[in-house]
Amino acid sequence: MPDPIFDQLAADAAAGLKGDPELFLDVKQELCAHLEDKADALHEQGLSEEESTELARQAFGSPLDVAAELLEANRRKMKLRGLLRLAFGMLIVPLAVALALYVGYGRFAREQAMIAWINEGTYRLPTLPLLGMAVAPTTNGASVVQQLNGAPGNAENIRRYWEAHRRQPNHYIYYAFYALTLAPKAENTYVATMRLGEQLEPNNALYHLLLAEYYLERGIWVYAYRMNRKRKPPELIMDQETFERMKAEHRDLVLDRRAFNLGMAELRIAARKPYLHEYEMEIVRTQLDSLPRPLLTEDYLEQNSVAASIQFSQLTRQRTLTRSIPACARLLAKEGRTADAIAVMDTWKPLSLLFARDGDTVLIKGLAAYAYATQLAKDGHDVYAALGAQTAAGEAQTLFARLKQCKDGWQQGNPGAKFARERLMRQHGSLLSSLLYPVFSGIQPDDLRPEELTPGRMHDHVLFEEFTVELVLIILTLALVGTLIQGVIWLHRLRRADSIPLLLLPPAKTILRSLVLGIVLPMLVYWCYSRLPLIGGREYGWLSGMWPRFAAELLGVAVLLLWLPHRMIRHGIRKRCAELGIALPEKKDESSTTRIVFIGIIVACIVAAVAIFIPGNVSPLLRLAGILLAAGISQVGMRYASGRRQRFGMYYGTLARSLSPVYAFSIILLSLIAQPWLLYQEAHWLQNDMLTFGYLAKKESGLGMTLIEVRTSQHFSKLLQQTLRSDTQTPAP
Amino acid sequence: MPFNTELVGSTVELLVLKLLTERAMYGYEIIQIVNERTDGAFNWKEGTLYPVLHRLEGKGYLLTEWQVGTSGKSRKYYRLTPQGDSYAREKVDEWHTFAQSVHAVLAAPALVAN
Repeated sequence: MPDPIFDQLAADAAAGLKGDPELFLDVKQELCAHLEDKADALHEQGLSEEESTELARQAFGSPLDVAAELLEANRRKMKLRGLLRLAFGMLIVPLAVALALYVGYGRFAREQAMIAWINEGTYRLPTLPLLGMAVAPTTNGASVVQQLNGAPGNAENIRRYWEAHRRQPNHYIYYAFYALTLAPKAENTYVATMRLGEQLEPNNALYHLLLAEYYLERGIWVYAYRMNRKRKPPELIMDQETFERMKAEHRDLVLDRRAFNLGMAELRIAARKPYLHEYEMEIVRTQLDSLPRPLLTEDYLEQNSVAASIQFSQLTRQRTLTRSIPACARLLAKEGRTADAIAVMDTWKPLSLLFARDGDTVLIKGLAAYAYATQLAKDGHDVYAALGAQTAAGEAQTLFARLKQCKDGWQQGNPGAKFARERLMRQHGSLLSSLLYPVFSGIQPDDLRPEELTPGRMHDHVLFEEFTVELVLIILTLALVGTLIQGVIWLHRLRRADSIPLLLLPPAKTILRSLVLGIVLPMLVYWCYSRLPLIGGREYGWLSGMWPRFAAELLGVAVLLLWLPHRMIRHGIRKRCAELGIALPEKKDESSTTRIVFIGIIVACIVAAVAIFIPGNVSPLLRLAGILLAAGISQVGMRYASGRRQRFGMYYGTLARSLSPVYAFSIILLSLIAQPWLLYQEAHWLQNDMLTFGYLAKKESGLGMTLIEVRTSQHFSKLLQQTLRSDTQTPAP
Repeated sequence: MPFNTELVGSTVELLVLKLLTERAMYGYEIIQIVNERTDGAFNWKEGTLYPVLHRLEGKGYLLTEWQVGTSGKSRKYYRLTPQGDSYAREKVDEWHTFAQSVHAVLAAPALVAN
């Protein structure tokens, strides 16, 4: 402790610098040390302590004169430091908070976008713990995907789309899309549309199938699927009582004889056509080209959603026809038109083949074609048997058995293939590969190389690292706000607001060391750990069950990234406080108090979080009580801490005030360097992920949603076609 | 013999800079060394030295660092920055030239009137 006389003298001499408490304390401390040295020297010459002190005081002269000189010498420095403090208060701290909020909001918005795209698309991701948020309703009741693809009510857009492309050499593609998606209204217009399509492509079964579906929808009432539909046929040709009776008896019936006959005729023509092509992939590519170039995950998911909604929109039409064929045959048989019934039923195989060939681009379509073929074979056997066509019935039964074998064989492959596939996916698969689950269930291990899965896996890593950085940013922001509040509390509590210094950043070396050793190094270590199979080997992908481990790692990294820089910076602040003569608590006492406060805050946070977020129908009063309890716990913790800390209030106040700019700088650095770099990495790996998003990058690789899907669906379609064409004279094993 | 205040004031900065070219020093130490080397002719007060030190620090010629000495006391040491070092040498050279010029005038034999 300095001599009170010297302390007062030095304080008077440095009084002009009080506007900058750090400078004031620094100069005061310097002058005190000088006076003590002088007094010691005099004491060594033989004077008593009192005499030495008195002589040193006298030699110092008038403190007022010294004060004027010191103020003049430090005026410029004070101004500069004042400006710096102002910059911290008005610029750096608000900028840090704004950046943290921006990054936080950016993450929230990105997650919302991802969830929206995932949910509106046909593919669905498993619910991820990090993305488990409520989905915001889309505007106007229709998704962007629906609006883009011309969902019901947007036929005019599709017409314009066709108009825009009709002069191109491959205009039939756009015409097919136009014909497929134009909502059928008036019969004349619809039929004329299909006839024009026939002229454009005489060998495509598409337009006859569309007409068959159009007529049969109006011509017959098929119990098997109509009962599941909310809308009743508007053209009922029977009274309500008869209709109800038919429903009760589970019977199909003819609603419109003319439409019934026209529908069957179109069906039989379609079955004679050499191919069916709906041109969905071509349309997908055209539409995706019209979207902005994808950059981040949500953009790619948007592209997937657009593609899925176009590709799968027509599957219901094929299903309607699949159910109509046996219904038509049964109705004809009931009327005694056996030959016609057999002729209609005979369309099942050629139509199944057409569907199978058209399903070689997207696996879902291939699987649907398989389902329709199987259903038709089963129904075909029943219908043929009832009509007495035993050979055809036997053939249908044989094909039914072979179709089932075909699917089982495709899924299981050779013995051990399933295990090898799962091992491959467990080791190398990515989270987004779950988007392709149906595809992966059909691949053979040799079809897939681990290198192809690498970009997807790296994308996972980057996503989780982004999340880690965002979590650290949130924690740093809370720490920043916490230190600001604590600083204000200490200023108020000590009632010596002007003497608690706000240390302008600790020396650049200390900051650099804190950033390198406290943030960059732990993140690098974690980065290496999570990528080196021999050490960490963490894979987020398929079936890996890594969530608890990831949560633990995340917590560890967050605590480390907070604790290490705080410890290093606090070391610098303690050193500076010692220089300024600010009373310091013992390190051991400080740690134990800090630990108790920290535990109190954690407990309060957990209680508050449980009270706010606990699911279920909990009374608001109970939730409020929980929040109050949390506030009480934190209050007790604060009171305990302030009781023990009061003596060192100047130090704690300085620590709180001086840590806030450091936190602010850390936030700014992380937001402006780490986060953009990670976003860049995300874009990079997405762009290189040919497997999951290959259709964007490799247009020449063939039609298909993804590279692996092209391989798998073509393989499956080939198997299906081979089965349907196989010799049925030999019974199925 | 007490010196003229202006004369003293004009040399404080020069002497401080010269001493700090030798090694880092704290305020009391500078006063002591000046006092010793001038045989007590220069007995600076705190109000003389510290404003000069702070002004030089503000100009970027000096850096400060608190260090604990062998006696266990914490003292603020001043040392020259590279810029301050060049400035110090420049000032010393300037003084030598000045002093030689003054000396040349003072030591020259008086002119005898014809």
